[in-house]
Amino acid sequence: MSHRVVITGTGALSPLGATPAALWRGLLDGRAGIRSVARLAGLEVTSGGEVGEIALDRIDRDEVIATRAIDDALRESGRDAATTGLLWGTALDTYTGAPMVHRSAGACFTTLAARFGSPRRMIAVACATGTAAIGEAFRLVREGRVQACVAGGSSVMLGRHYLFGFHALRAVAADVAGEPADRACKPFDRDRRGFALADGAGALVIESLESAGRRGVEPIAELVGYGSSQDAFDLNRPPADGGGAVLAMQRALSDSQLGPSAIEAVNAHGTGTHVGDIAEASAIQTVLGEHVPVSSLKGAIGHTMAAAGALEAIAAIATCRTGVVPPTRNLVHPDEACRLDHVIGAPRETGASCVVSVSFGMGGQNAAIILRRFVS
Amino acid sequence: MTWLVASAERTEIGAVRDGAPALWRELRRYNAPVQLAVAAAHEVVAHARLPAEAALVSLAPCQAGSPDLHRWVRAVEEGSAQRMNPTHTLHSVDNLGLSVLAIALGNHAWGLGLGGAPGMFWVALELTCERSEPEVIVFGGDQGSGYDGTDPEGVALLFSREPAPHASLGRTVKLVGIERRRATGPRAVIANAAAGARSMLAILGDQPPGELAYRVPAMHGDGIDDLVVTWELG
Repeated sequence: MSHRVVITGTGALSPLGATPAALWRGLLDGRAGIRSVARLAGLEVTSGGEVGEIALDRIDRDEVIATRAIDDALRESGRDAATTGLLWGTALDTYTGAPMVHRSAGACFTTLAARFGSPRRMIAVACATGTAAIGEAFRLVREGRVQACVAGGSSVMLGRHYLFGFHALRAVAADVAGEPADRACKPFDRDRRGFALADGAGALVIESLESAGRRGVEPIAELVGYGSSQDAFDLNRPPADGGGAVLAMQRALSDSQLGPSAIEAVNAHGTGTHVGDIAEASAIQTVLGEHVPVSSLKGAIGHTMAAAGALEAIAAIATCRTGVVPPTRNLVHPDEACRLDHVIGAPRETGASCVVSVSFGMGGQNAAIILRRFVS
Repeated sequence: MTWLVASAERTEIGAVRDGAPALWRELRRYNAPVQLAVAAAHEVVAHARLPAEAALVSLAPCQAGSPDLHRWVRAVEEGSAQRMNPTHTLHSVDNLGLSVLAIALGNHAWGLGLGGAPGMFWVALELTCERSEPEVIVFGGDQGSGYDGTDPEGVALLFSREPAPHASLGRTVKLVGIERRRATGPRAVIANAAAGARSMLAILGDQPPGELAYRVPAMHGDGIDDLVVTWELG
């Protein structure tokens, strides 16, 4: 039996603030979450996004950030963890300072999972983790295997060696003399040169409509489709035509039984890497055409890795509820090779009520979810 | 219902390097758990009907990284290095094995990486039961410590919706299901992505025909649940 799947709670910690409302308000206002990070001074990359509300020097910072987002989502939903599953990604291991202290991502997940019911699944598909966790939770709830799950991810990778590592892979934007740190990440812009790493956590309570109804909880939005795919192409770059991304979006559409014309806005992965943005734009053109409003959060909050898909889903939900698509911060001169209906400069009132949110992981794992305004 | 039709275990890097030079050229850049996991996966892939369409479930190492990676991390964190080798950066990536195998197989199908928390192998078996693809490949690797790379191991299992005897055991091995019960208290575990699978595979060949309720040793579980895997052996 197939169940309708709804979202009944959200929690978000991002460089724009420690609540979903702060994230949304910051996006609409065009605020910058990316700043020059003092502890990175002297490196080739000093821009990044910090969650300022949480102490920066804790080795268990990933767990603290994740717990806060999860608790906020559970509180809004009115659920308790013991009767709820957890599908979560905690990005990579955490290292701090000298002498170096190391904490594994798996240990973080195990601590988070201890108070939850079943299933408890640690999702690990790089930048697609948050979206894949939501999609997998959606599948479990829709198939009736579980009534509710918390899904999402957290990330505290804004450390020296991850910056060095991603810089070596030509993924992060190195500093440029005279350019403010908040301009580092420019998704789809002709002058883009990579992303800004950021910390964050995003959590969603994903629940069957029957379960929410029994509890008397009004859904925030509805999840209607999920698709995933693998590029099978290269460890560091997608194919230029975005073939894997096309498959993920087409599978999400097929899963939702919706046609491309039903999609009224795209919450893009939009990292600001040269090849990634071209591949994504090509994929969106192929599946949805060039006339659907497209927005990326990463110019404003940076790349929060395992949290990215969850934070983006939370922004997509706000679009479904309000009809407003936030602008892609720092997008000034759209690249001709990324020709789309970009939302630039200011939020756009579109009336959109159905949004696809996509994530494409390094290594080639792709995930797409379709969210819709809830109508009973 | 799904049948375990092939399984493979690898513990010797040298055997991969010397015994499969073409594969080694593909794997030599990666860390030992990924090398052995993917090498094991290639063994079971030889028994798959349509490996490019199989669902893939990878298990990230619980003991992540490599000696090379940790040397870089220490140097960077202590301020004595200003760059990192991009190849060694990949050793920190938890979906590396999944990406490497998908590329090798030209596989665009559903695939999922499970992170390096204890007990994820049993989640992989649950996913195997949930998926509808004709074949599912579960694979993962680990090591005693990411700092010194000791005791690396890799394991892979090929499941099929079509009943068929296990390639090396010569008998049918049907996965019936996985049952979880909350343990009465926390359980001490060994955080290792491959050890639990290898321990279970070791006994499948010796059991009499019929139903086998395999009680997962607490040390191979997730520290939260007691787990029973039910098999039907031909």
